[in-house]
Amino acid sequence: MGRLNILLLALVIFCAMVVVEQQHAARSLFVALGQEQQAERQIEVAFTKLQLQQVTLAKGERVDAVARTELNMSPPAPGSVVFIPLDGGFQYE
Amino acid sequence: MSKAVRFGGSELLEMRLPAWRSRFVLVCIFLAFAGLIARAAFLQIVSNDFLQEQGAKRLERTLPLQANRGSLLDRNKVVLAQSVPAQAVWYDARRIGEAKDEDLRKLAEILGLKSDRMIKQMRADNKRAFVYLDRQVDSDLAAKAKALKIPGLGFVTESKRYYPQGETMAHLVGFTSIEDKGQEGVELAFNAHLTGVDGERNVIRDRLGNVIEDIRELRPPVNGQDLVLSVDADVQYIVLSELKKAVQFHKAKAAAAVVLDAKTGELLAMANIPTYDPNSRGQLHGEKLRNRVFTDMFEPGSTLKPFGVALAMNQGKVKASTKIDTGNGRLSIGPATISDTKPHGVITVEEVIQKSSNVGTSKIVLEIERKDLWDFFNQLGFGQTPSIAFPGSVAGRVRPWNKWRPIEQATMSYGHGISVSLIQLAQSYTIFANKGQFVPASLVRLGPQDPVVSHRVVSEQVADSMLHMLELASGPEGTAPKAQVQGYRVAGKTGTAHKQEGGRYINKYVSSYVGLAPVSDPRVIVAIMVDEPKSGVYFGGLVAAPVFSVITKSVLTRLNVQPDAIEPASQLRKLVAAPAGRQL
Repeated sequence: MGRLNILLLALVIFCAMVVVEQQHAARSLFVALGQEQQAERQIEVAFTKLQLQQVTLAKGERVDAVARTELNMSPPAPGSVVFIPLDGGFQYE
Repeated sequence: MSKAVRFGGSELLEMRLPAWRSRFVLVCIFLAFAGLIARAAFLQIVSNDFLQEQGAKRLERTLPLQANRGSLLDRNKVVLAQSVPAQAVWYDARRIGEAKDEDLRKLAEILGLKSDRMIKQMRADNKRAFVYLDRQVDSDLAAKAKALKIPGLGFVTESKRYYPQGETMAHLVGFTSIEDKGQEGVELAFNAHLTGVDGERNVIRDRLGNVIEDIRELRPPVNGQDLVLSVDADVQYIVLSELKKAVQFHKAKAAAAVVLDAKTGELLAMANIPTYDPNSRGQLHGEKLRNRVFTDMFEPGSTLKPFGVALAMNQGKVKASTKIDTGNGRLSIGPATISDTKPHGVITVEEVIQKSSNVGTSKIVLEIERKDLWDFFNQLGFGQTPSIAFPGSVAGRVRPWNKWRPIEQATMSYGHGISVSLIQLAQSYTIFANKGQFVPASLVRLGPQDPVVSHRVVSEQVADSMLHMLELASGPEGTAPKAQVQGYRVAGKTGTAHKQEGGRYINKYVSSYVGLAPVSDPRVIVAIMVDEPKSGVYFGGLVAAPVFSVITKSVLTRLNVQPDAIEPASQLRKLVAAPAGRQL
């Protein structure tokens, strides 16, 4: 009887220690999860900012300006455009 | 050894202590325990609520979970407006005194504020517990500011809205307030759709401020929905830049343009000059916010002529070939006289539109019953609340038919004495693009499954016949040869209207042009309005038509519309040199 009690007592103490340990582990993991979620949000924000940056760099206004000033491009003059029908209206002889 | 030596025992031990002493100790111990139990009971039962509350105050936190406002996208999913989390920086004036000047100077540098002024302002009072220092600070900068660990300085998460297209989309997209509520344009019109619902989360925090446990189920934030608009960012840019050039060239006060998809009524572009940049908050006031497309009415002038004539044709009063005597270009109705720019003599209905004869149009439209004309205008959306729920959009002005005098009916036929908005004018031209079906304009992109709502206004024959007349009007013999576009057949009508000031017509003009292209299968309707051109010319055919031409050309190219006016092969031979070694 006495031995059983001692065994049970030891078991109880062991379980109590495990509970404490597990609680601590759970909290640490929870904190880690929170940090990862925070990181995820930061990455999302960074992604949004990059998207905005991409749109800003690709917008018509900038493309137009770069084409004209840096690349010296210009729309073809009306007289220098020739429309050619696709369906055999124009062919080499 | 009679007497044994006693090694143990003591006399003291032999003494019997009085019994009350041990009882006294026992009672004391009992009382001490009773005290403990009473205290425990007091804490557990009586002050339980108070203690739990205090505990919660120290460890529990409710964290707001911010919902993002939905993004605005163009029809090709290009971002037009997007919210990014930012930080508001605030300080507690009672505690900011503890901060070092050196740190505050660093803070001012990070936030881009003038340090002397900022410090002076922060030191000026020491009573208020919450004062905003700066709003909508980029979160990276805020993190740097946070690292300074200035006492009394706090941060609140909020969001900042960015408009990457800047002034190009300004009038359509509008802008939000600093609290992220829609203030103008689509941001206001679709505010409910775009706004999200903030969530929250109840947590326990440890001594270091880490979240260690959720104590209740979190209420997740519901982000606002994204909205895909019908507008095309590239088309919009084309329209705005050409409009800008036209305003500079003609020294005009303002200009506006609308491009509609002729088949679905979707708004592809909508531009106003002057415009503004919604990203710079300081600019958001004054005349440049004015949206002439939706919120301004103007007398459209001759751009309205096709409608009265179309109704007369629809009722069988006239045919395209019916001869109308415009005489010497003057027509007296009561005390008033209507005149043409030059006499045209006897001309057909077709030529009335082509030459834009006021007298001819008036004569045709006076054949129509007043009520029929009024009904017809209503069917076209004039004088009606626009189907587009754009903030501040106007219904236009069409006086009730039973108060019309004959002269009014006549002037209305050529667009005076009636006021419309540019968007109304553009959408009314859908009847010529859709064989007599009226298609209301739409701000939101329609999916392939979404049905196009439309109603018949005139018969197919009349619409096609009018389209032909409008093509003639932009031809070499018409009023707007400058509206022509290389490679495409276009149809349209010019308008030149005197402006009214204080009830009288004055010598200031609104030049306009509404056209559609390509005629063989209309894809776009383009409406241009130039307010008070001052370069010497003011006729719609000289001011607005060339703008129509350049815009339409770029837009059709951009939309990959196949040209329908290709020169025959024989013409091409002259233009294209044959490659070496080959005979063309």
